[in-house]
Amino acid sequence: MIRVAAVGDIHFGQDSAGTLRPHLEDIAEQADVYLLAGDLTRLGDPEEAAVLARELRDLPVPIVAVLGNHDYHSDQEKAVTDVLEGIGVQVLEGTSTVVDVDGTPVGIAGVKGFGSGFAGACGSDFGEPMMKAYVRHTQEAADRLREALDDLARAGVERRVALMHYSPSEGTLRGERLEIYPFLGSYLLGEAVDRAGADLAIHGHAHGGTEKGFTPGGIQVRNVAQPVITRAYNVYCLDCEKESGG
Amino acid sequence: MNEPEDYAIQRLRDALAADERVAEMGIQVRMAAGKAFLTGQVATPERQQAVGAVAAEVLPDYEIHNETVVTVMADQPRVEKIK
Ligand SMILES: [Fe+2]
Ligand SMILES: [Fe+2]
Repeated sequence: MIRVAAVGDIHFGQDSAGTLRPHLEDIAEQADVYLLAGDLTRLGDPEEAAVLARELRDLPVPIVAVLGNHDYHSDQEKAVTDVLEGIGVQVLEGTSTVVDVDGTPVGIAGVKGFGSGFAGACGSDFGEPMMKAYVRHTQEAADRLREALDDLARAGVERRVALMHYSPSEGTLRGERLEIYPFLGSYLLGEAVDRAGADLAIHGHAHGGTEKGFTPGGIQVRNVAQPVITRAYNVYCLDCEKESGG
Repeated sequence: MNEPEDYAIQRLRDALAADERVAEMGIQVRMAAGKAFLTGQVATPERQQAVGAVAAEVLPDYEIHNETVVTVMADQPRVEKIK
């Protein structure tokens, strides 16, 4: 049984001190790992990351994160990363980590990702340099996610979770305006997850979206943006079915 | 000529994203009969108040209805078995 807690879009600022920790006190009884799906800060200010770090310090479960677009706003994403890593949060960007859950290795591959839209209605790597740069940024993120998931598989890690900020699926965007889907996610991310394989894909960013969806290849996707789940985290249990006999 | 409402709406949405007191991209703005209705979720009461303040600054000629809500944090997580 592997219990994955996840939330995104907590958008921490100075006014957020004390809002999260009270909800995390019993997390070890609920979950084995805590995933943060980006937009951890409001403006990408390292001072905001420090407020969050104080809430997360000494949590009894491993914390794994990706950054979101807000965490890049001040061009200080490296400093934001450093503050979080300073208290032991693993911040992934095209990389992966393995946590041990009662002897079972669980791999988490993470990337911020980017937009471009979904198959049949998306941007293409064509035309002006800015348009190409936009789509290529997403393609590169998707490629790195796929490689990170593949690396885990090659290392013999059977249980794998893909962690993103942008969405790999359309289904979890339901509730958002259709016109902005290309800014909310990309089928390229879903394709990467499908090709490499994963037990679950987690993302945030779509505050007005829906929790549950799936990739074109049928992999479960969960949008854990805090305005969507209205919790400090939800828990997704892998391998629960067989252990509970149903 | 008065500013068309479409432009006023987007000017406010840009301001809500850019203003450091708010930094929210997900606030919806609709207008009717000289009133501006703001909806969506914000993380803290301070930011909710700032949304109203920014709107009043950016659109002084409109009657502002700040109907945003502060995201609630329910205590217990939901647990789902993934198949
Ligand atoms: Fe967000
Ligand atoms: Fe975001």
